[in-house]
Amino acid sequence: LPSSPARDALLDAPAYSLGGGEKERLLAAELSRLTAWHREACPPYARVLDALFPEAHAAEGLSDQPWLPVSLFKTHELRSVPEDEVFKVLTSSGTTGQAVSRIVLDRDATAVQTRTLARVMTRLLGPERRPMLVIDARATVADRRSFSARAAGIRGMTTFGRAPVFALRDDMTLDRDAVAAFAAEHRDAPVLLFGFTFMVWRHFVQELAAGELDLPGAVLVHSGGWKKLQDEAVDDARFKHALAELAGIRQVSNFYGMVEQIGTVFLECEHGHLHAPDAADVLIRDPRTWEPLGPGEQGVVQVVSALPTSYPGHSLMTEDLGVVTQRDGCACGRRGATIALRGRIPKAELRGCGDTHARELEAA
Amino acid sequence: MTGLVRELVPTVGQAAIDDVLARVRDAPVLEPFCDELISACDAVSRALLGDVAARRMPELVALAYWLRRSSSIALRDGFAEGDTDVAVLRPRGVAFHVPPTNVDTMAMYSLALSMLVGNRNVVRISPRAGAALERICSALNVALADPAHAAVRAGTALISYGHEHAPTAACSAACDVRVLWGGDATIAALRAIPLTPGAHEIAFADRFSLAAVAVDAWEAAAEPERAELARRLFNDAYWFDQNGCASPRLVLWRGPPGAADRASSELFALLDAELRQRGLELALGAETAKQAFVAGAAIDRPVAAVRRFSNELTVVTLTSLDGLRRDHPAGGLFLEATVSDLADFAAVTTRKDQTMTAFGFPADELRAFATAAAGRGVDRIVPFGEALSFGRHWDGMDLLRELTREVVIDAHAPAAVRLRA
Repeated sequence: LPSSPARDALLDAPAYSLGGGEKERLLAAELSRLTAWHREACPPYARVLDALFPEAHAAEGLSDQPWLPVSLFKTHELRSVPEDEVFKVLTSSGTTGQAVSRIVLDRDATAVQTRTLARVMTRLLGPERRPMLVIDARATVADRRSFSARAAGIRGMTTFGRAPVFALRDDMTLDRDAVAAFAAEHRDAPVLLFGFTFMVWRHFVQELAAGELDLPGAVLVHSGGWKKLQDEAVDDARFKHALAELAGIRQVSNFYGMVEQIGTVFLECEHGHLHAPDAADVLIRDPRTWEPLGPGEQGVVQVVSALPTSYPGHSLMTEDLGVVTQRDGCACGRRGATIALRGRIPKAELRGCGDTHARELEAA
Repeated sequence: MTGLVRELVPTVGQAAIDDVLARVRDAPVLEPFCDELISACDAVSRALLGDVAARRMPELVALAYWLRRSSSIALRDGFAEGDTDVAVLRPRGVAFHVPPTNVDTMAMYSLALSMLVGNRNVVRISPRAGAALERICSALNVALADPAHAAVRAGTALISYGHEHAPTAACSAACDVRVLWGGDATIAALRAIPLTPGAHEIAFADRFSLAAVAVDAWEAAAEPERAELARRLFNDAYWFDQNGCASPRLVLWRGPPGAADRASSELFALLDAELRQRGLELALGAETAKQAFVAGAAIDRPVAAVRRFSNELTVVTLTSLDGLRRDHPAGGLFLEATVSDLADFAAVTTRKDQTMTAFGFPADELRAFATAAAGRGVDRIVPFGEALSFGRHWDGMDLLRELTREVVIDAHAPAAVRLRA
């Protein structure tokens, strides 16, 4: 994809410096260009546009842009680069038996993704690479060919830390000696902890005794969502409280993103808000009219991003519910939208005579 | 074999599966369509119609009418034609029913047909069963508490349990006929659990159903008749969220393309109006599933156009029936195609196709279609509004015959045998 003034402005802006009408104008222009680009480069995408968005070529504003349902990547391969330019294929996490998304990246898309992630992380962590404790097992990333979301997430984050220590043994039990040694070595120094939300709770927080660790200089970044923790009534507040009590960790940053849309990395700021990065934004749509909603109104989350060039993922309708909490107004000084997530759209339990007992058997 | 289950009918409470099965097995054998059986069904019908909560659910009202004495007598008269001077129809014995979890009324239809021909019955109910099933159990308990129905009571059990293997294995080992509803995956899972060698099984696989409209008849229909057809299509499709085996998912227009397009615009506009007037809202997850399905279909199926009316109605126009795929998200999505002759569909029909609700076709055209389909597909052709009307014939089977044994009697031994004796 050739560059354009809008693209350069979006990709090269200092972190969280874009906002207001300027950001919307730049993104809308670049998304229109991406739609045209993918239409040419990806014939299946062109077929979806022709059937579902016959007016797509006339789209001007951000909310006029056509979108793809995110789960389409679970059933269909959509690729806008020749096969021999595919550099890696990312897959979404999914429980056994579930279909996973397959996201095709070329070298350019990979480089842009890395650069964008670096910019938002640097803003949170500072320019120095911090000693890092990974709340996972080395085995998770041992297979270099594995591009599971968990392995990819850990590998991506280790570029922002140094000398990573793994807190879990390969059987997922807490390696107390390794953790204690890490804490002793970096007692008051700035360190980075990273793990998936569920893993951090189950295999770290729940294993620690009160006061066992004291890491006042730590920033813990976590990702993966609260779904598995809902049954235990673990929410953001309880999670943060436990980490402060048990490990002295005061800065905890959640991270919302999806493998289907590289670049849409919503990182939690010091004030507890998830921020859209410069090259991406979010629209909230009414779940019945599918018209865009204003700040404070809950609806279906649509994510748009200038980054995806190797597959048509620049405008996706997620299956998440959420709300834009503010635009350009966060006390942390970052510009752009902040969002709050309100859970996933539940799978419909339709009536009818199909396969319901079998589903119960599987769930058992 | 151990296993505790929750008995829902005829008493409510925990029970050992072996005790339940022993009681049902030892219950008296009743004559098909005897007075006690017909009276018991009628009592269930009256209990449902006398229940304010049940009367609010249209599927229970339809069930109550189906269970009335007059309906049972009509069934009996049809069944009696099978009793001749060389054959009598007898119950098979104990029937074990596994009805679909999400269509509560199916449990009662399955039970009633089997009961009426004299079988004793055990019905497995899912712990996730809905409000309609509570009303059915309550009506059954009222009806069976009557001492006049003591034999039916002894031979009937509705039991609730989850995924446990033991109760299903015990019921399967004890029954003479097993009735499996609920689709391909359920059938595959339950077929792994053995029956006795002599037992019979009736299984209802996943099916696909459609509606067919003769465009010339649509053009000739006046506005009120068209509105009535839309209402009937609504009932056929939306009563079970378009997820019943008989719910139409494809609309075939038989006629010239231009006229078919007009008829399609008119019918779906009326259906959309019907949906809005009723205020039906399906779960949001149904709409997201449809959006993903439609985007995928645009990629790899012959899609000419997509019309999205609301979260409850999307119409996908196909340019061809070749390679028609039957996977479908349900929840208010209609595929449509135009054919010049029903034979075009006969050419592509498969075993998966069950019900065709038809409007405007001459009887000989439908007969020619059924003949051309050659038993590969379509088991029922019924008018609009009747897709979900349950009866003794289902999935190409006569259920009353499947649930009975035919005893043939040849009283006239050949002369040669007599001589040798």
